[in-house]
Amino acid sequence: MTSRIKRAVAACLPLLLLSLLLSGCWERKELNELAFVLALGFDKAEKGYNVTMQVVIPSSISSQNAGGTGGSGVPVVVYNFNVPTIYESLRKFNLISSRSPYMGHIRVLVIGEELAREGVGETLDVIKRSREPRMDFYVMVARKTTAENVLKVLTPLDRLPATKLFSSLDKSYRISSKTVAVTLDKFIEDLLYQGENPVLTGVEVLGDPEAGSEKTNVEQTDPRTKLRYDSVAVFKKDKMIGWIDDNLTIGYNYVTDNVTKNTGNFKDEHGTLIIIEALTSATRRKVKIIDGEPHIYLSTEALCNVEEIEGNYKLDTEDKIKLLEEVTEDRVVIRMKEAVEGISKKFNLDIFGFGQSIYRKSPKAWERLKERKGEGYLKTLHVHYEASVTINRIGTIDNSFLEDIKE
Amino acid sequence: MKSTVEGKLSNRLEVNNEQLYKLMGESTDLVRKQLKLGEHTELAIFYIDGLIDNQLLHNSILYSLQEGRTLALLEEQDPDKKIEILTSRVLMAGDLTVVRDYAKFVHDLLSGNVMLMVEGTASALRIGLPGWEDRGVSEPSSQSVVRGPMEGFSENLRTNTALIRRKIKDSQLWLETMQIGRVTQTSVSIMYLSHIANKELVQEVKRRLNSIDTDSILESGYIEEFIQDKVATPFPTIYNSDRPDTIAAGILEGKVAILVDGTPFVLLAPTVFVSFFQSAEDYYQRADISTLLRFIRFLAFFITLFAPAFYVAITTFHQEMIPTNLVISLAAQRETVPFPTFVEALMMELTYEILREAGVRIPKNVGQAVSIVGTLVIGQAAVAAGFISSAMVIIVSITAISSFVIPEAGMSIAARIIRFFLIALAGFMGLYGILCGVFLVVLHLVSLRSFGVPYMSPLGPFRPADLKDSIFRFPWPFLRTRPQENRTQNLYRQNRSKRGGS
Repeated sequence: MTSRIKRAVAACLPLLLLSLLLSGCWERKELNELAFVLALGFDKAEKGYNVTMQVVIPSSISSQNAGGTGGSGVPVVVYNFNVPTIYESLRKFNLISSRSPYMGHIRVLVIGEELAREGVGETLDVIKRSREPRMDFYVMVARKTTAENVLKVLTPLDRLPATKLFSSLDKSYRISSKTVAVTLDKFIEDLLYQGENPVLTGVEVLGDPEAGSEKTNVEQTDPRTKLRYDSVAVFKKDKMIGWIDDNLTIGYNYVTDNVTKNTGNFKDEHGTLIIIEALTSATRRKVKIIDGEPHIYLSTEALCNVEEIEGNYKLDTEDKIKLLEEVTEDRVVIRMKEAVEGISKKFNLDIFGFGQSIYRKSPKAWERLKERKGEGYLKTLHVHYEASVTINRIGTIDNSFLEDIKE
Repeated sequence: MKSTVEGKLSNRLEVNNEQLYKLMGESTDLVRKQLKLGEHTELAIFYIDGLIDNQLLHNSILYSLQEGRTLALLEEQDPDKKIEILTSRVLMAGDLTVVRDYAKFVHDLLSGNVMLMVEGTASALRIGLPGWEDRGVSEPSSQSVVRGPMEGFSENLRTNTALIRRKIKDSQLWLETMQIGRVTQTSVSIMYLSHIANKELVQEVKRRLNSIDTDSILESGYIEEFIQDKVATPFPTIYNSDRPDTIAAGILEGKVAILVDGTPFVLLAPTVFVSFFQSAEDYYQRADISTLLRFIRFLAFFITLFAPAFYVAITTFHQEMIPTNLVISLAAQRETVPFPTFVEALMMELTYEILREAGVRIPKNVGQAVSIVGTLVIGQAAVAAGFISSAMVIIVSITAISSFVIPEAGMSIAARIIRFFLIALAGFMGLYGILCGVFLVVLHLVSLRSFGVPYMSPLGPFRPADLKDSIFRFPWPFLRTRPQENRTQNLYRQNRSKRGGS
């Protein structure tokens, strides 16, 4: 009897497995039923928001000309929605398109300057909440224009403007340190940390955005309309306050240990320009509480190469290279100092995360600091700079050939 | 072992003769030759034409019977004595026995012996003179190697046992033979090293072989299915090979080889999962490359299993996992494809299986036409017509190629079957489905046993010491012990390494 019951139970158990199939095909989407949104743009509208989506047209990208427009049309289509909430744009999408929007492959999020100045917090919730987008795309602010205009512009070389924006930012912050590459995750993190304020790179449209949206824009050796990264937007929490220029950005990147490569120049006593590039750089930040006052110690270590000498500066002795190293060290310190002082003077905003570092070192000290000085603590904060530079290579020639030129 | 032939031989030649005709009908290949030596000695010779060596029969048997000396020896003797004299003083053949009943008589006759009878005795003399057309030892077709012996088993049981004996010259290499198959009476031999192989294992093999009751055994596959531990499994639990070196290596590890007359494929039991990923060549090449090749084989096995299912899963459920540029390119390829990816994958896999089956069966001289149809029509035209995406062709091709990397056909068949199951799960539930499938397969694998040995050993019950020759292949000086899972009587196969070089 018991064995019969056992057998019956054993026969029923596989039936339980069938319940696994009940979820079958849920969320199943074929690739050719999806509209891949590569870039998303948010702008302020009179009522609600203006949401821009840059959607790739796959058949025009692939070399395989099977059907579709066959590699000759524009590579992307830009949809624009005037909606009360961001999410509504996803639901309006199908009114004008045959495919449903897929947010899993967003490369960049562009925020119009107007909206940025008003505050972006509310708009980001929907992206963070949705499970589709990955949080590793870059966020930027459209400088002096709207996100819609930025996303309209067609770009040569990288046929997908979104990919262009992504890779261009990815490379520029590594190679020049003149931009900041901030992913959505990082941006939201900076919003949440106390004693830290976020920054975002600005992107500009050079030329007429309407002309940039035409295909002829990429059929010229010098496109009429271009996209360029310029300046960095400083936020006070989720509201944009203003812009900082290249020099401050480089200083900012040194302070926050985001410099991979950076070029600097200075003149020697005869006015010869010497250009030195940092190849790798690391900045360590230490917080010490001295007499109840927090002190920030920044020490940068950089490995540099001499890249260019515009004159007769001789590099044939070790002393001279030692000297160069010292001068470069001063230069790095000045860069950091200028950035911290410049920003505290202009905005009085802690975008460097000093407050957060203090909080991590000693929450009590941070509380005291906030109590005593409130938001404006940056102005009177003790920051100590130090740099150590090693010049690694001076290139394939020692002295410039200029002195050998005979009249 | 039952036989329809009963009873003892008669002492009258005529009676025997009649009885034989009754048993075998008018079979035209049964040759019956009557000889009369002198006045009193009547002899009869029976054999099956084609199963014996005619030349030897004439040169040694018939010739010596008709010598004058024979006549003198046999004259005036009583019939029983005559048999004895023939055995000891006349016939030069080495393999002689006396047979007294019909069952044995007929069996010997049909196994390629010459039967000699003397009028007046109720016994027959069996003279072993087997000799039939035989393929001979040729290169093994199923598991070819670059380095290593190039001889393979043939259809002849005796040749096969000799091939193994030539590799292992040890008195402890025991050979036991039995007849299985009520009608076919196929000789089945087991070979093992009596001082190494586990005694219970040998007993178990014999017990399982003896319990087979069927009318025919035409190939070792019959035996394999009769004696395997579990019938309902796609995985082979008994190893087979047509390479004498592989079988000899197995015997030396304490396994039992089962040789079946009439087929070059010899079985080896017990066997474990990892042994299907080992090639004979692994032991002849240097250890490093062998280890690398084993990794590649496992990788190929996983590709065969998962590539199409994985493709279906990530393109229909997990688009975010694909790099942006790739997903756009894939989307572009799918632009004109009318079917869901799942149907597309199923269609292409089926097409490939059809092509493969056709390739096996197609006559050689039209084979070229099939490959043209296969490559051009399926590969190119279908893509150009927008029927399927080129990515799918790539996936199916890599799957097909990978399935040939696995050295033993049985395991790649298992992978091919499970593949379809996984594609279906992936089409339903994406990666979650694949994971469910993997769970089921792994659970099934660890539940399998081969003659009591856990199939996934040394991974299933984890035996680190045995990893040296399973996933890895350590250099020979380090392969001190035989695999523990075989529970051999003697674990050590060599002393702590005494290498020639230093």
